[in-house]
Amino acid sequence: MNIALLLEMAAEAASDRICLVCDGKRWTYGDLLDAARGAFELIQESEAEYVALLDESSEAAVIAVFGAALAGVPYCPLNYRLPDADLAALLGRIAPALVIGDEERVTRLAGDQGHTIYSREEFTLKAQETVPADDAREYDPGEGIAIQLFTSGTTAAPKAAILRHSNLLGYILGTVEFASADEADAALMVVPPYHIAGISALLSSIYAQRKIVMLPNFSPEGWLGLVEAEAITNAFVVPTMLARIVDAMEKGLNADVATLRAIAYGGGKMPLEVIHKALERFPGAGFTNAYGLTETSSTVALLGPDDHREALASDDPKVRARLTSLGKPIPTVEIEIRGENGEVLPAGEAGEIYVRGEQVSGEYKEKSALDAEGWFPTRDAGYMDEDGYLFLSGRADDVIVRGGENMSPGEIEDVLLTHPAIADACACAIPSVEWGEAVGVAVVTRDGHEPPCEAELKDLVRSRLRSSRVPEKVAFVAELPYNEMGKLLRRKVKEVLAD
Amino acid sequence: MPKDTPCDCMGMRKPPMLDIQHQTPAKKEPEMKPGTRLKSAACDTEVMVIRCADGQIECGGAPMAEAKPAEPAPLAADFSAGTLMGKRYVDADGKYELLCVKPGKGSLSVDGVALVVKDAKPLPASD
Repeated sequence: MNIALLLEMAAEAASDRICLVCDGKRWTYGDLLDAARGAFELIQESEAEYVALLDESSEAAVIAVFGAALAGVPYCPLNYRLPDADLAALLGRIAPALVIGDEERVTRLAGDQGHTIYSREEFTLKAQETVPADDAREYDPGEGIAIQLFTSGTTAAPKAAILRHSNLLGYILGTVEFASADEADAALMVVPPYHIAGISALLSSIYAQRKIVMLPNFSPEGWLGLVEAEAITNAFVVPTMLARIVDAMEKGLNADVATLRAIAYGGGKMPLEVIHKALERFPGAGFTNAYGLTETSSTVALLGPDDHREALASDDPKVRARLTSLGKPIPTVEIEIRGENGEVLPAGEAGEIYVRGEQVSGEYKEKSALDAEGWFPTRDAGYMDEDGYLFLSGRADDVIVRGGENMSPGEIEDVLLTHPAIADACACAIPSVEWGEAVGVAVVTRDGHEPPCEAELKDLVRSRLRSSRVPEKVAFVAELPYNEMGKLLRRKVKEVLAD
Repeated sequence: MPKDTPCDCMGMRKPPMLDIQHQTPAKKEPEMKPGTRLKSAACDTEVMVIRCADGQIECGGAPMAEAKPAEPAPLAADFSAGTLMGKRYVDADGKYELLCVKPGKGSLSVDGVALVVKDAKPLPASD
């Protein structure tokens, strides 16, 4: 089965309905399917082994993903924010490819790698003009790879994660009702095309026949402006975006957000303060925290709108704490927490998060990370409480091992963030002669506050956690390093603390 | 734009065609597998096979095949409840799963046993 089926069905059922709005242009399901079929011809002609996109979101991304699927060639959107050298290396790993987007840059970096290069406009126009030969065209049966995504490589060189047609279709068919969206529904898409959330949002919305409105370059003004202008009903944001939106609204930026009834977030840790403020600013919207990875075709656990409301209204600290959780596994996947020797851990005990399900690929170009029973070790550390809510404590690689005791940075950070003068905090391992590793923290002082003294912060941690968690080193920094998706770059903090 | 693009560039990605019909006289259907698109002989219904075994997949009481027969089959009264676009149909044992990609008047069965609708488990708009 081929993911192109999703667009084919949407076009079959409602060819003239608007599928996509981007830069003021409107595309119907029929328009996009025709262009995807045109793109199939271009891809066949080029004899490319990959279709790559080095560009922001636009109609070309949609045409490329389905054109590549029809041709049976993996679609590989690339991160245009990468430095030249890294990008050249990734382009080399997928040569020869049909590359769409920044023509000048691709030619300069990889002009000798045998790629076929198109600008966004040229690709879109040619795909539209290229009439499919005839109805008897043989499209790919979809038994292979649909998408290849290079992981962000926050800890090591980027890995080529692959998602098969079967993984993505398993996710969409299992979690989306065909044509279930109302004609007035509109989803605002702001994550870049090389992120798994962008791809799953595209596929979900097309199958649900929910109109997609793209905002290629995020700004709070642009986002709020589109919400009002296009009567947006659904939106997905990463935490830093929501923080900036709420901040801009507090500073007086106004927009009519009454149509917005669902805001989903994910891709990084959401500060409690931001979600509290957002709940106030968008009283009509239900909030959903979605947890997923590239290797799992996006969402595997979520904290839904009812959970958010219940947690906010509750006096029970355990129920309130759910606001910081990832919610519960979705019905179509299984999740387990395992210890160092692979044993399944009981509720409340922290270990590594394992996931299994049709949508879980767990596969890299080089090898599969799945175990014999199909479980994928996420390298995320966390625990599940007695009620089945999943809590993330960080990457398994970020765990601080002090004298044989495992500590997650998250619990220390959460305590530090309760201090009124602390705006942001990061805990990580620092070398220790005595313990092997010890706790170091970097903190950001809140605007208008005096930095607290080191002893005060140590006392705060000691009062809430075991003494082993008390930081040995405290660094005050102007800000913490995040990547553009809002992921904290812990290795950079480590470097600062090691000095 | 050459209309007769040589097929070689696709050749490696396609499974070899099984031309069973020419070798085996009888009525044996080509091997069924996930991704196969079947058409109803009795109505407009078309399905995509997601999961299957060796049984006979039918619509409107008549066997389904990749091609439509020259003469439409009559619609059996017991199998005329209709199919719905985008619905998945399954048997009790979980051996068969069909996705309706074109609706019609017939209803689906395997070896005479009606299939039932399997609902998606919609998420609260997470992406």
